[in-house]
Amino acid sequence: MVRRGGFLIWMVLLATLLAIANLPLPAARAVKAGVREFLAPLHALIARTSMHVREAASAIRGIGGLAAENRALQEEMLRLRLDMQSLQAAAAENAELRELAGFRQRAGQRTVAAEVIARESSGWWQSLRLDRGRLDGLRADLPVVTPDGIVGRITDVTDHTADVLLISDPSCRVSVRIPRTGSHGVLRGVGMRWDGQIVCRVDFLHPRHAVRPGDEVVTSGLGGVFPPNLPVGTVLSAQMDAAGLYRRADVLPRADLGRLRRAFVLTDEPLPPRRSSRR
Amino acid sequence: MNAICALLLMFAGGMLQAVLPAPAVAGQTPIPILAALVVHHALTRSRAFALWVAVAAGVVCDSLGRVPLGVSSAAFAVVALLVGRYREEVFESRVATHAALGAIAIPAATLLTALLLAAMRELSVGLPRVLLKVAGAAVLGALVTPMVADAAARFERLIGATPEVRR
Repeated sequence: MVRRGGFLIWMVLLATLLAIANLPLPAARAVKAGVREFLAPLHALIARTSMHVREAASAIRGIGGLAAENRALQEEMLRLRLDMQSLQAAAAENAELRELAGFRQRAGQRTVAAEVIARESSGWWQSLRLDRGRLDGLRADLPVVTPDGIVGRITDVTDHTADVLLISDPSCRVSVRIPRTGSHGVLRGVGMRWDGQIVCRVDFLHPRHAVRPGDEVVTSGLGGVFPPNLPVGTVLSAQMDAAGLYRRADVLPRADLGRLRRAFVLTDEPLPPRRSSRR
Repeated sequence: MNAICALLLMFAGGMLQAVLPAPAVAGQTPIPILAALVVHHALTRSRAFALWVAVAAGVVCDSLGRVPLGVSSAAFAVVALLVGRYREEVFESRVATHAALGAIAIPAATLLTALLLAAMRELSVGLPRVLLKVAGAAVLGALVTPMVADAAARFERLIGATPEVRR
């Protein structure tokens, strides 16, 4: 009897696991979205509470009165930096060619400010979750940035949350450029080093273009996700590929990906007519 | 009551796991609260109930991340079976039992998850990183499981959920 009961447990377990693993994609997404939506308000509450605690601690230290102003200034700084980058690019490049290439001006882009409410819970990917979603006009493949530099791209959205794949993830690829040499390359994440420092790598740089530590790395605009000339990071070191075909460089991202609390999503779309009633 | 209690614990555990930072020295392995809850249920509940908890905890874990649905359920089910198999062979101290089982079962779940992800061509990290994560899971499992089990037992007592007959 006990043996039969054990067999039944095994069969039911196997059937359940197979059923879950073979759920049709829309059903699996619905299950995931349901759990995320259910927990999103609690995640947001924890994130905001911890932010308020930090701001309160800052206030006690005598600089906390500036916390709200600091937040507003960060947004303003991002806008100004985007404008500045756009102007520099316009001066450096031929406007007619840019138009022909179909590049969009970023000066008029709308930014959606969002707070980080959770990080990838399995640890196998470098991603985080924002407290803005479909109802705020977000969708997959929108770029996420901070005033310091790019953060990643949106991979999945629910009504109230958006998952962002960070540039430090090995599966994230970004087309980048080194303005000093004009070299183009492909940036990919190498994850977090043993010392906790997040480093990315740029492959396929021109072998004759000498890249030096300290060189700035910016987005190239190719690839269709990130607009051109957004700051990415600075070169830590560079070396030739083992086969001698191209040069590669280790890059320190400018955005503090490990301690990110707030980020901005760049979108050209107008504000959605309906805003979430939950926030 | 037991099922409701387990569900509440799972959602709370999943929420905390997603919010708490993953230590870099442990290969960015997240604090394994859900896996520790599975260990706790495998020690105090019937095998069928523990497996049910394992599957549900896996669904919560996968839903909060990019892991395909079902992968963590399978890994947690192995944890439940592994702990259930050896739960009679315990140390005198409850904390030592939880720590030892957490240090064995949670890295086993991490390794199994990595193997399943690799089989599905979803794994983007190399073998050294996987090994670091497994080692990190062993350390975190030993540290976290006693604390999570203690907190879960207190919560169960608080809402009146009683352990079933262990079979």
